[in-house]
Formats: sequence, structure tokens, C-alpha cells
Amino acid sequence: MGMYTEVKKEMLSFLEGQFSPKEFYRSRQIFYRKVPIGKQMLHISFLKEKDEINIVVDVDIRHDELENLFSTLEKIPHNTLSASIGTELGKLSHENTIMWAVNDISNVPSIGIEIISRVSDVGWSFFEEYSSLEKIFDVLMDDKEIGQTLCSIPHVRAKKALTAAFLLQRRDFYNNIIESKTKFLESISNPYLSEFLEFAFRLKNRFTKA
Amino acid sequence: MSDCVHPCPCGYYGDSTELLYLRARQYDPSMGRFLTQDTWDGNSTLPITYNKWVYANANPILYTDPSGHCFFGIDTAFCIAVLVGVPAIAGVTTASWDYYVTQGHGVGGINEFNPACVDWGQVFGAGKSGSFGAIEPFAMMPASVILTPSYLLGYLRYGMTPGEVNEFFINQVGLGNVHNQAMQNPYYVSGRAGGSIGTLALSLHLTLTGLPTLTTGPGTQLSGYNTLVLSGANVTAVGGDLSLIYTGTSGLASSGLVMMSSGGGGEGRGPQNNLRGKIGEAQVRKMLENKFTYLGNRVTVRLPNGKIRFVDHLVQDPVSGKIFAVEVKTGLSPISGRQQSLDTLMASQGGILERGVPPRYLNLRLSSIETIYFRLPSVNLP
Repeated sequence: MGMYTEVKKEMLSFLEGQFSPKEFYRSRQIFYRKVPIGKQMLHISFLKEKDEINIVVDVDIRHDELENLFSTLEKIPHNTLSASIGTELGKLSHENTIMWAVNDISNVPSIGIEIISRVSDVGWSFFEEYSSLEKIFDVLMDDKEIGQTLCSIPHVRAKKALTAAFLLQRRDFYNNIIESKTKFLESISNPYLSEFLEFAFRLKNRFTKA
Repeated sequence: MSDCVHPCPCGYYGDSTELLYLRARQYDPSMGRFLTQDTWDGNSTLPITYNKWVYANANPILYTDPSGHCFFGIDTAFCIAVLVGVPAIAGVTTASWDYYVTQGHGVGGINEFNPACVDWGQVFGAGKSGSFGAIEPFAMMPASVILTPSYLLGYLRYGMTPGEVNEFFINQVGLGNVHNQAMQNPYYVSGRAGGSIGTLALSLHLTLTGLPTLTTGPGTQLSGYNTLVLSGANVTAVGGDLSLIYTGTSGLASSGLVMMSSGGGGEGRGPQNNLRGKIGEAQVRKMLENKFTYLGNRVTVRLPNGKIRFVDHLVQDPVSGKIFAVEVKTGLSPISGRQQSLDTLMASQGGILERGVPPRYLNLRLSSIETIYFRLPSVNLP
């Protein structure tokens, strides 16, 4: 077994041991915990470098209803591990991406503890902060710093904002969202604007029927 | 020189502080820094303009900022990009900006409010000196002007959107038949004959359509925040030290931190090449994170035809939000016909992200994903 595979296996196994008392389950490289609105998730990436392996950790929150309706409207198969918002750990504390470098299998426990510590510092409070659809909706509506950090693809953020508005029964706000998001997408010359408008049309039909 | 009154007084040395007063801000030449923050909020299509302490987009050799707000600017938020080559002997910076044309050297002229004020004779003279970027914002370009061996490059018509920059200037004026040939000649891009430095500075997206080959001279740099799109068939970018070249659906490219191989053997297939590829991918990720919003590596994309495509990296343009797949090639390993057809399919119909991305990007359907190729030299195996 090469070092890459070995480190990956060891690190995931170490983290599983640390996270399982907190009711996190593992699915491949994702650790998830069920909460009333959906799931809290940690995603671990492993990047092979010449003499080391770099590890990057992301935190994400899934709002079940939002994701399910979004998938239905997008006509894509439902995936129970897709998330609504999230970011890489470093970005949560307004820094650059944090990468942990492992150059030997024996470093796995010490680096694993560093990862756990960082997750404890900023990850848990992130999960706590965005534990309601209202809070997630606020993020999705924002096209500046927080929105771009936690849901970075502009047209996806726009679509999910509309979906959240639907679930929050904010019909009154619906046209305003379309207008403001359209303006924003136009202002950045986003190539997926028409896709957003088609999505808005599909959702509007639902509004009418509902 | 004329009765024209320029709306934008230029910077001048003022009191005993020896600071260059640039209208809105004071600039300390010894430090290369502004001493006060820029009062202009910046241009959303040019992220660097949000950095309130940088003079002329951190590139005073190429840009000037007469108002203290914009680089190579005028007294509005209408900032100008300049396409300019710097010959080895020029020694000219745009700091000596005058609203007419600098005298026979590196910079062309512009007057946003009154194009008639531009002394085209001097603009051409500037070009003949080997380093030239003449700009006009309102399509007032004399139709008769063509590139000759005297000019590095003619004009850059610049607008507020990437589309404005490209279509008119490059395809209709800047690179007509004559200009297209000129661009293929390293003489033009690398500066005057005998000159060794050529700089192609673009601030926004530049599209060259149907250009079979862009040949750059030694030391050529593509600098600034930019994407150079070569969208013709079988486009090949050869040589140079190019910061980023995007070749659309086919072709080769090199990235800024590495020199593209110009000879020697290519990499073969097999486990060793896969290992080289993985190492190269990690190197490329770090470069990508500086320019893009990084979405994931080794990403599985389900294509509209039901097939699976693995892409090395998935990134997003932080300005427009456009999504790109990034493929890393090492040595001279070719882009196969299969890859090219998948590139085309993915660009026109997109796909669904299935694996290799954090959950927030999982299960997204994207209607279009274009592919960028990065070519790395052969990587030494550990």
C-alpha cells in the first residue's frame, strides 16, 4: 500500500474514532451527524504532493427540505449528502485555505488532533449559527462576503435562495429576489443567468399551484 | 499642442514632502505605495481594484493612474487596460503620463471626452518606437490604421464588459487578416527586433477567435488578472512563460509557474504517468487557488449521455461565477480525441457533480463546464 492510501486510511479511521462519540457517521470522506433540519457534515480532502499529503477540511450544512425540493426542481437524483451551505475551515475564520501536511504515517495522530481542535474552534459554532432555514436563507440572499463564502456559486446561490423563500412561504418576497438576483448575475456577466430564470419560472409555477 | 482641455490633471510633484500628488491620493515613489486609501470602491470585474493601497494595479510599468483612482485611467471609474509591449531599450514607464501622447515612447494616448484631442500622429510614433498601446473607448478608431512591422500592436478598444473588449477590437479591427498574421509573428509580441521582453498585459478576458497559433517570444508574460481564450481549432500556444492560457475545446497551454516544454519526449501512459499526474495536480491546485474559487479535485461528473467523466480540478471564476474543469497534462502527453469530444459535450451540455467535491457542490447540475488544460513539464518521481 502506498503512503497516500495508507495516510488516507489511517487519518479517516483516526477521525472516525474522534467524531463517533459526537454521533458523526462516516460515508467515504464525509462525516455527518443528523440534526432536526438535516445534516451537519465534515468533508476531508487528501491531496498528493511530491513528498507529503495535504489535508483540507470543509464544513457543510444540509437542510433536507431545501435540498430535496431543489433536486426535484433541478430534475436531478436526490443525494442525501448534498449540502446547502458550507466552506473550508480556514475561510470560516477569514484566512486562506488551511492545509495540513502529512509526510509520514506516524504524524497522523498529531495532525488528526490539530484538525479536531480546529473543528472545535470554528466548526461547531458554524453548525450552531446556521441551524435554521431563516439563517440559511439570509446567507443565500447575500451576494457579498458571507454569501460568496458559504455558497460560492452565484447562480446556485440564487436558485437556492428562491427555493428557501418558497419553503419559508415568503411569496411576497419572491419577485424581489428574482429581480435582485438577476441584477447581480447580470452585473458579474454570469453565464448561467438564463438557467436561473428558467428555474425561477419553474418554482413560480409551484407557487401558483400551491 | 492644442486647445483641448483634458478633464484629468496629471500627477505632479508638489511640496517639500516630495510625494507625488495624484489628485485623490498621495503616492510615495520611494515606497511604491499610496499613503492614503483610494476613495474609489473598485470595479467588480477587476478584483485587484478593490485593493485600496495598490498603485496602477500593482504594475506601474504598464499602467498609470493619473487620477489616483484608476490604473491607466481617466477621471472616472472608466479604467483602461493597455496592451503594450516593452522593448528591451524602452525604459519608459507610463508614470510620465500626459493626456496627449507620451513623446514617441511606450504609451499611446486617450482622451475619453474628446477623441479629437488625441494626436494620432504621435500615437503612431509611439508605436514605431517599439512599444505601443493606443486606446480609445468609443469606437473612434481610424479604420485605415493597420499593423505594420513598425508597430507592436495597434489598439485596444476597451469597454466595461469583457464582451466589449473582445469582439470589436480583436476580431474586427485588431486582428483582421493583417493583424492576425502579425500576432503569429514573434516579432510583434516579443517587442522590437532584438528586443527580448514582450509583455502582454490584459485586464479582462481577451478572446482570440480562429487564431491558429500564438507564438510568444522568450520571457513573454501574460500578466494581471486575466484569461486568454484561444478558441480556434487546434489552437497551440507555444513557448513563453504564460500565466494562464485557456484553449477552449482543443489545444495546448502552459501555466505561469512553469515553462512549457518545447521539445523532448512526451510522457507515456501507465502507472508512472498517473503518479506524475497526481503530483502535478497538487501543484496546480495551489496555483488555481490563487486565481479561482476552488470547488474540488478528482471530480466525477455525470454527463448528459449517462457517462462518467473524471476531471482533475473543478474551479470557478471568482468574478463571473463561470465553472471550469481543469485538466493537467505532464510533459508532452497529448489531449486525446476522446477527451476533446468530452470537453465539447461538457461545454455545451454540462453535467452533474457526483464525487470529489465537498457536499455543498455535490449533486449540482451545471449547464456548461468548459475545460482548461494546464501543461506541466515532466515531474521527477519521488
